[in-house]
Amino acid sequence: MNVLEIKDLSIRFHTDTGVVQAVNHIDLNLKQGETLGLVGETGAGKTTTALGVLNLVQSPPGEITSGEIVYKGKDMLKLKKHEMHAIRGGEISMIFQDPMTALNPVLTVGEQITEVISLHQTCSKAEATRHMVDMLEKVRIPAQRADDYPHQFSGGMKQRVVIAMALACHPKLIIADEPTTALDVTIQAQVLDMINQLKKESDTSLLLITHDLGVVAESCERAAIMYAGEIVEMGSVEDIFDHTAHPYTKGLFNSIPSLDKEIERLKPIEGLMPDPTNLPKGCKFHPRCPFALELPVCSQEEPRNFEVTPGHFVKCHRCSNWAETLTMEEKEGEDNG
Amino acid sequence: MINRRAIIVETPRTPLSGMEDGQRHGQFYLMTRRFTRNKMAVVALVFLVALILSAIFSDYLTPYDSSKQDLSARFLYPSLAHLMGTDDFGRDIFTRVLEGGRISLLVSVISVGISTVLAVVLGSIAGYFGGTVDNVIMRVMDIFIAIPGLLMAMAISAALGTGLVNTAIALAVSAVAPLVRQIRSSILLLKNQEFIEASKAFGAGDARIIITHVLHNIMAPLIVQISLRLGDTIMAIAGLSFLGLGVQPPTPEWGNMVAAGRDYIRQFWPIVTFPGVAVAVTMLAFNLLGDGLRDAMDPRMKR
Repeated sequence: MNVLEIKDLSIRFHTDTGVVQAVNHIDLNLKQGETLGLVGETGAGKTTTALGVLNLVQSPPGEITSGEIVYKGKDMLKLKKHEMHAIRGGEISMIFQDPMTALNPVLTVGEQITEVISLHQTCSKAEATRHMVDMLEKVRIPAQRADDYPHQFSGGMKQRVVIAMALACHPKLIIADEPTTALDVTIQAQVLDMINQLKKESDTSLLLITHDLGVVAESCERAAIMYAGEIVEMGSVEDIFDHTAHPYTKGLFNSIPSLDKEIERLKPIEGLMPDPTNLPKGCKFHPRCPFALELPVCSQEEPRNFEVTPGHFVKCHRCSNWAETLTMEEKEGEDNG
Repeated sequence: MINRRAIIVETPRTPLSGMEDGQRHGQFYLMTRRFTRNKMAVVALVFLVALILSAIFSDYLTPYDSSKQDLSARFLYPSLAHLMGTDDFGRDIFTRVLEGGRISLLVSVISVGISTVLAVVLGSIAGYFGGTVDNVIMRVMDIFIAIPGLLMAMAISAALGTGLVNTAIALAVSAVAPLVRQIRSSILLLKNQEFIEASKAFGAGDARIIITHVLHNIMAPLIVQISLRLGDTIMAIAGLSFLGLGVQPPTPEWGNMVAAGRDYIRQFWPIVTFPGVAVAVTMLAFNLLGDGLRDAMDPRMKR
């Protein structure tokens, strides 16, 4: 059963320099208990999508111009204010990117966790406090530190506090917006392990936003690759990693330096992300795509979502003829071998 | 792919400084400790407490009546019988300074109370919601700011008439606009911070965010402002009364005492000096207290 279904979601920002097309007609769904990785460069629209799910896109300047976000059969965009407040934090929670700024500096961490609990559960203060202590212990923070302020914690501990807040009301869906980006590598692994473990315990779904393919490989069952506000490729982690189909995804993998080979330079994807106020016609990736010259249609027409194998969607003209792509892939395989 | 499953190091919790003895203190204790380290602020606080107590109990502190005239005892220099001497009607200046303090404190507390409540409401609405509401509120405030504070207070007290409450209202109205601006600008800085967005994502409504998150965060600067405003208002009351628009004689008030005594300033110094010093010292005390509170209330201060 799908916990979350995003259909044809578009989000625009009206700014002085023009209309920023941050998210363009994306479709996404998430099953109960599943972890979906949403991968893309900075500015690809990942965070905007996440905020869109909670209907938190600031308006103005932001505006959700089309689409539906269906959570358990209800369209989130048509909910009343109080229904929305009940869902936020109660059913869908968000873990923010930077734990340094996601906590209120003048309230103790205990007060902040208790606040989330009392927002969603009718219980006495004592019960809320007990629950808060449980949550702290779940994220391995000793209970006596509940009266400390955020500045008395390290970055990793703060992120664990944020996780405790996010999980306090047993949400059905957690949106983690680059939860490890602001942390150093050993703490990253620790925090990811903790999210995964707590998620498994409570059978929660997780939408994991990241720009780190390593994180996706470790934690996710499925992944969606975003580029310029579109999902260009979506499928199981095996589909994405072993049967990469979209040229952008390939570029991403090629740009990861290999440990085995001695190389002089990194291999970035040529060019830059297009200006979101002025997206190119046709396929958004064609100005940077190494295959665009072979097919004139790339700069003319926007590609459809092709389902190349069941559950593996690719938004690329080359996939209209899957057989041809396969042969190319084999050729590449030979080259690499 | 780089192996991300690096060894997870459980960092042992290092005790925070000041907690080596294993004792854990309440936040109020820590705040008090930080406050008492600032000697000037403690002196100021002691002075203000003494001033408040003496204002309340002034009737019992001196044997004289503040309005009782004794023409046989005019222009007496300070002595044990008259600590600050007597004025041109033979009234005891010490008694009048104490009682003048009562009026000044009362009026300034009322006035700052009114202006703070108004400013917090208007400032948080303007800052938090923004847009048209913000524009309307702030343009009205701009009109108020365009008129000099004392001039406006004079105009309002001239319109409302003199007296304690009217003086308080006049000063409150003239003080609202700058305070609204300050509160609004602190809120503008705050509202785009991630923890505000985070609390929205955790399902908090606007009212709750404003009260628990926004106002909590501007509390420290607000208290400092209140303390400074109290000092300023005492000065402004004295100013208005000096001009004859505030508290009217024979009710003793520092400003009108200076005004009444200014004819004798060359011949008899105590009559203007003591009320003048009272205004200056009280203002200084409020400022020092404000500074001390600001340092003590910020939980991020690590001293």
